[in-house]
Amino acid sequence: MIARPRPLSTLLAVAALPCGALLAGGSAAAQATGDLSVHLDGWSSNRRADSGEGKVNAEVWAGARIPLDPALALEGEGWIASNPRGDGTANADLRRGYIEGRISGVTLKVGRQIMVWGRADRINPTDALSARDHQRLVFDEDENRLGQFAVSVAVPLAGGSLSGIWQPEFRPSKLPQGQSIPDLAPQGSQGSAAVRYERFGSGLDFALTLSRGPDHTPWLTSARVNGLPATGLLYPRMTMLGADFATTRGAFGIRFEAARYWHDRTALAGVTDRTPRFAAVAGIDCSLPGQWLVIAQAVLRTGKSHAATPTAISVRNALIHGAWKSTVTGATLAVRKAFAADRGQVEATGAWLSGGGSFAQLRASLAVTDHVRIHALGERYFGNAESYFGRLQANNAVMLGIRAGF
Amino acid sequence: MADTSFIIDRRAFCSALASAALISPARAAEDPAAGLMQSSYLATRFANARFTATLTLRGASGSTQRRNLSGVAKLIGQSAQARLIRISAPADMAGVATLTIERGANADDLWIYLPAMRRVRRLVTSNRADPWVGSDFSFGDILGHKVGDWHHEVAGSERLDDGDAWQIDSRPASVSITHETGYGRRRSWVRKSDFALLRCDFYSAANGLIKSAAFSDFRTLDVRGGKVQPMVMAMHSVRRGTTSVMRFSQFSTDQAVPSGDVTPEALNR
Repeated sequence: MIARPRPLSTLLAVAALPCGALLAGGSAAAQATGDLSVHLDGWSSNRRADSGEGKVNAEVWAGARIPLDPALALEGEGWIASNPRGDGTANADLRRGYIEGRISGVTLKVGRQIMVWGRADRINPTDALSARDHQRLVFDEDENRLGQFAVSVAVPLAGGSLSGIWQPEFRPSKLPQGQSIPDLAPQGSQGSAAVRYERFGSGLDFALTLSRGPDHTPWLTSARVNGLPATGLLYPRMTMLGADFATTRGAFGIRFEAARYWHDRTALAGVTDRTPRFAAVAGIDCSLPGQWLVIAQAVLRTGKSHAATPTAISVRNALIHGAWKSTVTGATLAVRKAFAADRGQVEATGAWLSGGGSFAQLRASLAVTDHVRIHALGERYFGNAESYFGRLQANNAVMLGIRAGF
Repeated sequence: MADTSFIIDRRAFCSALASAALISPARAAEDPAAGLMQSSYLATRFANARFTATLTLRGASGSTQRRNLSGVAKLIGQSAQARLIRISAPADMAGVATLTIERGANADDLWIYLPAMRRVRRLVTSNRADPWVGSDFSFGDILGHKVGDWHHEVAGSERLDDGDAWQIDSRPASVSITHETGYGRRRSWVRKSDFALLRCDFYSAANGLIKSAAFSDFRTLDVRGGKVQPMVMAMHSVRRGTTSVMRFSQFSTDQAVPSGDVTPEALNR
């Protein structure tokens, strides 16, 4: 039973995706592509930091791309799940559903899209326009991204691409915590805009990004619900200026990503004594014989202190936004090994932040046949209960799942 | 260097020299084997190409996996090639795409697009010994082994089913090439009539046979340029007992490939 149903249009849209390729007429049908996959996962815990018990979740994912003519195409992707957050509530989401037109090198996309920015591994300071549902029980964290309605246009410029994005829809990120906290900025009330120049070149790829819009990661604030004091969620406007690049030197790949943030301090008055100011990730990766890949990264975050007395809420906000000290340093290390003719992969990842605890994750997947793959995951948080990672120890989990794709 | 004059006819040698643009004319004149390998390198490089193919991986136990591929290739300059290959099946690999752009003496560029990440990532090309999409072909085999990175020597001549061929031994010009490719020697069978590569054996640094490639079902797709394409490419791993067969179902060279179709931005289209 769907306890909290999505709008009927979402469910219908997701259900229609696998049929899209078949429903397309004429020559479009010949070129249309679609995919359908079924996931069944068992989790020892949820990701709501509420010590939830083991959960089973079944999902159906569907996607389709339907060319309407050589310059026009429809694209969509969505899922329906029985228990996506481990709270016993079924749900569905249309992650992407847009029309794309291309003429004279200019690409226009209108509809729900996912904007993914940044070149660092898993920690992306410039990824400001994308929202995530951190409570989602997903094996691959890119599956927890939320699409948002946007109009984007990309124009070739100086060997690269200049993009302009207007994102009138606002979907906030979901924090990995269980209790229901009222939104003080209802969805849809705030839009974002961005300009991005990206160039892939001989030996060097880079991008420069400027965005302005609500911070997708919520800030806790004091509120009154039905006249009673409560905790609310706030999404202050934020400007982000970011840059990233990737290059290779011999056997090494080098990646760098940095962003400067300016938050609307008026909206944050009384709820924080420090806001994120700057974040950077510098990484190096190395492929080794035998299909080993090692990725090491250094992390730096700085915060801007405000003349305010720390409160319980400001301390929690500082943790959520990685600004519990004026300068936070850290490191990540990932080791991946592919085997069995790329049918299998094992990845061990560790992350550590100064004063923030640490995190370890082990993931493995194996394609049993061309259509069936099994997954296993274990993740563990370390640190005291008032630290960035330590507060999530209730989310320690192991998972075993199977996926069939068609 | 072996005396090769007894097996190389004058016409073929001149043709080889004429096409040996990537190695210097002086080296080609001094090194006819390098000239032949350069001609062979160029024989399957088309100004524009579009293709679809099926890659079948056969395990030692007889199990098989299939990958459906499509792609485009375009020559940049005289011989450097940009090549975009996209996987359309099986479902869990669908949408994965790679783009390689050769950069002459500099390191090649390699990007990969993984649909799950929705990001184009630049990868290091120095580790060319890794399997390409899990097959017995390595990234180096697919990128092509640059003639200038190897020392070549004509070892003899042999008649194969598809024609008379020169046997040419190629050894790495530096230790780093051995490390990058995993090969200590390659023996190539180059058809005398059109420089098509008919077969190639790959040896380790200890001179043990690792893999053997066979090319067949040749189509002449550019008569004026004398360019041919093997529609079937098979690689057998001697050590693992596995075989990968790439079978092109379609290979056309008559339509220009827009430059924008072989750029990193094209990977996620």
